Amino acid sequence: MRPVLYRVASTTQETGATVTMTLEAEGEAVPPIAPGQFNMLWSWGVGEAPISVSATTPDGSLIHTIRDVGGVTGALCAKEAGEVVGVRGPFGRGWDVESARGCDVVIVAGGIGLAPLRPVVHATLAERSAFGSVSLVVGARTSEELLFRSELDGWWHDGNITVRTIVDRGSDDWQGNVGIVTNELPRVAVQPGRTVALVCGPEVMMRFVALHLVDRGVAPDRIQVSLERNMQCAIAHCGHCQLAGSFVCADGPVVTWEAAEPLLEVREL
Amino acid sequence: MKPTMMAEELAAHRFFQELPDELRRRLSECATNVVFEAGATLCTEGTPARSFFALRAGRVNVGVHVPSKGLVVLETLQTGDIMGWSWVLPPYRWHFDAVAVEHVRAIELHADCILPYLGEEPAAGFRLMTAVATIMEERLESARLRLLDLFGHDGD
Repeated sequence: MRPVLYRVASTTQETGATVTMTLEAEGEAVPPIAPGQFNMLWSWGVGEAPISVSATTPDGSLIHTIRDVGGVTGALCAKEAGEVVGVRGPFGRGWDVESARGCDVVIVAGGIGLAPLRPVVHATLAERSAFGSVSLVVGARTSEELLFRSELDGWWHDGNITVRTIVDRGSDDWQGNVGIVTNELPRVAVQPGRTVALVCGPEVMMRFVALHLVDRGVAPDRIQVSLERNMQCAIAHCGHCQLAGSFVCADGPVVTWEAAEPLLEVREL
Repeated sequence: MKPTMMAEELAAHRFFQELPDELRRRLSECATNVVFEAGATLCTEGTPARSFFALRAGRVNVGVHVPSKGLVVLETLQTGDIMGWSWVLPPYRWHFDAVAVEHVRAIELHADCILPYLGEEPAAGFRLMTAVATIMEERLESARLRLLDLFGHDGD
């Protein structure tokens, strides 16, 4: 499966190490991508990395938010408008937003985990009346590392979504809350039988969030988490992302907590 | 305020909801409603800790005063949280500063009224201390998770 060519149409520096990039097909385009799915983005001469879509567009252009954490992602973040990248995809199973229709939705994001969840927020905003209450809890290391900060207020005030933000470390210019994401959860209204939760962030964070929600009565199959493993081929052949009998690239990255918990309990996995 | 009304107010706060009625009634006799405006200090590091606060509305920053920096915030407490456990343990002094971020309404519970009762009624004391220990555990867990620096490059 060979990558197709996309040209960088624009870039936005979200934080010091995070860039949002809009890509337009040079010719052949990849099929439409769904929230929670990912593309393999290729920086020529460096390599490719799995990057979740951070917004979907009707015109087929791709919007990815990338954090510079190494060689490939660093090269991708350094791309400027007009440069070309390779794209393979889309891959994996995304968020099951349909299952949240008619339900209260609790979205919990930590760090770069807000990027794959942003399309879910957009989906609920697009059909706000199709969902019950929508609560978004966002955690970050510092206020400077909060993603999409300019959009958060709009989601709350214009979209009738309750947005709670919290950072690990305060600063002089931060008037919001200081603490860990789980500190905010007791204040999120949860009706267990009619709540669907979508969680993305570091695995430890997702574990504590899921356990909190289960303690409050939310069924594990109503909690969706996005797993991250070393995805290379993205088509369940190479085995790098294998998690017991599952391949995260194909069977995930989004799975229910019911499916994820037994796997994550095994330390060797 | 009548103790019965205060007992109802305590019952509405999540910290007290699991406590027996009689214990809650006795605690209500040791409680007063208090209000803090934004910027007001609830407690200061090193000063005697003679009470604790059940936050009913508003936010409180808990932190350490650092010369030339002012209050370095370690944690924000909010509606439904409990602020303070230094009243439980010697030397009964606050270990941190706490400052109202905005208009805060709280119930202040006074240790000099509570502690003698808990000494006379060990079962009640055990129930209250278990509730306090649960809060301590939550704060310790929060602090430990932040030590992991989950959102740093290595944790993400």
